[in-house]
Amino acid sequence: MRWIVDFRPALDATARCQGFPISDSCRRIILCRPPLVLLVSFSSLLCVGAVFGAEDDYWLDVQRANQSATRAAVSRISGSLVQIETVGGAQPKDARTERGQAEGGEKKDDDRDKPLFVDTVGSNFLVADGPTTGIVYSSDGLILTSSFNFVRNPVVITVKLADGRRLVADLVGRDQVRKLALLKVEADGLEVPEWAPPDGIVVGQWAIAVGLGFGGQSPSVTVGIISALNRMLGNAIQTDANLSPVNYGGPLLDRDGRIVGICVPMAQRPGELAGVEFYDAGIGFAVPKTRVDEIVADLRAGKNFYRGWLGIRLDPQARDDVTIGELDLKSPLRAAGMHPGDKILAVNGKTVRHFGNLVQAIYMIPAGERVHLTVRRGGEEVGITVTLARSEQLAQELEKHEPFDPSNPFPQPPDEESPKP
Amino acid sequence: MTHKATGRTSDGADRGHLGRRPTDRGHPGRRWGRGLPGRKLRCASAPAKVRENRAALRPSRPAPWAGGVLIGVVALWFVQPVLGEGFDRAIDAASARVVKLYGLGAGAREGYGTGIVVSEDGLVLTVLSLLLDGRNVRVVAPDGSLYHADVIGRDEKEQLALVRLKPEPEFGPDGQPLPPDRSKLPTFACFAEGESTSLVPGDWVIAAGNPFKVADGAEPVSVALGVFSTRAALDARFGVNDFPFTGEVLVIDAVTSNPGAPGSALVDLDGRWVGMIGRVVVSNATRTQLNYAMPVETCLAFIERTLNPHTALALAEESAGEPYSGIKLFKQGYKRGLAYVDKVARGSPADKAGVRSDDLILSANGKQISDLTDFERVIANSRAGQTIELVIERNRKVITTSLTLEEQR
Repeated sequence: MRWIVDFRPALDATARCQGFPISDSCRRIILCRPPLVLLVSFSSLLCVGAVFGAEDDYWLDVQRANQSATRAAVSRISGSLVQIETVGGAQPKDARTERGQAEGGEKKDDDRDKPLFVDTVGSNFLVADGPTTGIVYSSDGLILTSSFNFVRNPVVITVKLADGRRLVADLVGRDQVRKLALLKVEADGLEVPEWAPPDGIVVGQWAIAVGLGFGGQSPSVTVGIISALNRMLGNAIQTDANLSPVNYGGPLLDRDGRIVGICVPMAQRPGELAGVEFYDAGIGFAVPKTRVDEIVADLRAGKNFYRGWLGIRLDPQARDDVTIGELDLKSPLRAAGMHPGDKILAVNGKTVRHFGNLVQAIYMIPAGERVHLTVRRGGEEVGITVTLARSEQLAQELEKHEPFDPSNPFPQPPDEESPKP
Repeated sequence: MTHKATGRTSDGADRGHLGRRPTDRGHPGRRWGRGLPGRKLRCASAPAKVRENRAALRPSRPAPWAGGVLIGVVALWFVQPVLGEGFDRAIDAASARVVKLYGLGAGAREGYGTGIVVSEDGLVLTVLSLLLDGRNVRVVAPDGSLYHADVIGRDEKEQLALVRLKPEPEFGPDGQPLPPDRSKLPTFACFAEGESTSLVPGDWVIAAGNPFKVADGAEPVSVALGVFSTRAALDARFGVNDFPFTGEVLVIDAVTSNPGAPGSALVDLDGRWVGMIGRVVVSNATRTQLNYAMPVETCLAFIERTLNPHTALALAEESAGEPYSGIKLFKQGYKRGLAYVDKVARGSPADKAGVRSDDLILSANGKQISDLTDFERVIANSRAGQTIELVIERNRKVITTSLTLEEQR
């Protein structure tokens, strides 16, 4: 039943830019197997009537088999799916800040009566308080889900198990980098789902996302393929199955109903809502088992992961290299003896040439982790190791990169800020 | 999931108006060309280098094989990839029964949309929209003929509309004016019945319609492939208002929340009519735009009501007194707080159900209660005598109880 329609040969062919796969095989057959060509032409002329009858049914059967494979995969996982409901809480900070306030718009406490135009999601996305999805991680009551489901900081979290039991859950820990969260309920003997072996996952294979975001017992199913592996510095598998708040926190399955990853919203930009802008757009991310297993032990111990910051703003004048423009008061780089005007040359051995490189190199590394930097400090090239900070730890006073002007010993800060990695 | 839509546009539209069944083949010769089962396509391609070498060995003797090569090319032309891949039947069935609608638009632009032919004599089902509000509603049939139409039925709650085509097409498929004596409508291919209950989450569905009015005249409409995701009660917003329809809809994963797409036909793998794409709304459960279809049963009931208004009136006569639960929720000024129970009237339905003050109501009749207005709405939408399943949190325990509403005294 596996690989009923397999996209991999087609993907290989297009990746090698050899054109449409059929033309390859045609040409090869014509050039190298003329008798075969004759045979094929005769047999096709003779058998065309018989084939005409069979062809349509063949493909219909293939698609019917696809349907029943999807059904089977979904029913295999449904014993481990849980529905999460939250009560209370408010819109998270970054739903309100961005566009709404930048344009001087006032946000009231009660946004349920406000018009909802989600065409520019991310900038104005309002988080719903509907049910969300989680998956059993261990039989003793650990539930794995997405931190997106708790951005409202709810007062009460309940979990509805597949057997209908409804329990109050504790939020044990959340990972705002990988957008995962771990819940604990007082239960035993939960059905633990099977995970797909990580090295068996390939681009082009079918992917099925399930979620309970519409309520009810039967999960909502979307289907696509695995689009890419090792996205987001190895933290995510990319899929084109439609992911949205309906299935964030739910599993992404392979054709056999085994879990490939946990569906989460994910993007480079910071913020708890980052990545929701891709909902239903054919760009979705799921955290794979290898990464989940690394994180869960820490989450279980009550550790939270936050985005890591260097606490610097780059010098907007320097275009061809990463020159520090300003340092936050508590910047880990300042502790390492860096000053405005110094340059960052490489992060963890990877050369960085501009702001984008720098963000790409550190955005999935959580606060508290160490990063090895190659820097040019006061004219000499040295290697330093710094610990990324949480944004709350960075005091906002800045040390600026400006040549000292004796006539103006205390310059005023400029209005606009350069981007801050 | 449009990536998997095989990119094939239907050629079903240009032969649909004669009322053939979806399995009829318009061009048998071409159908043969769809050729052998797809296993043929799986020949692994040789590495590029090997092929070059082989080609280099044989440059000098093309002539003896020219005839064979020619026949082979012709034969392989017929053994081209099977583009339908089993979806042809559904695509043909849907796109032969879908019409393009034009009418009143915002500003100088004309409005556009999609409709489904539901009777042989030219009844078209679509969604309520601005384009129907003008005097000049125009319908382009699958063969490209243009008809004028009258709106004969509207349902504000379900946001559905029924339109009847008027005879005398002004222009033929070739754009030339037709003689004015054509007073009879042709027989249209139509969906007369359908069933959505057989759908299981994960089943293929195909939506055929004219989003962004990409197709024009006799051009086949756009088809999109997706799967049926789930059946869910609609709880959504339309612009700034609550969307009036709260019945069950079919959620799909093909993206249909686009202008012009509402009114598209949704069919299953066998080409059976299962639903019609509804207006673009934002779900309250997820705050995302929904891709959904009104179930065919809802559509057919609306058509029945519109065509036989008398039976519908008789059914609508029922009423009951104001419902009363005996629960007073904790209110703090104008703020919409959580649904904490403040007081329970003695002897009231809530008292009998064991509800106590300081309980937090989590859900009622399966609907999540996010704040006290949610609960009040559930009660207001119920009738006296109706039983409501309550889920309550009390001292970190979840309690389920049922409460039978009484008439307000």
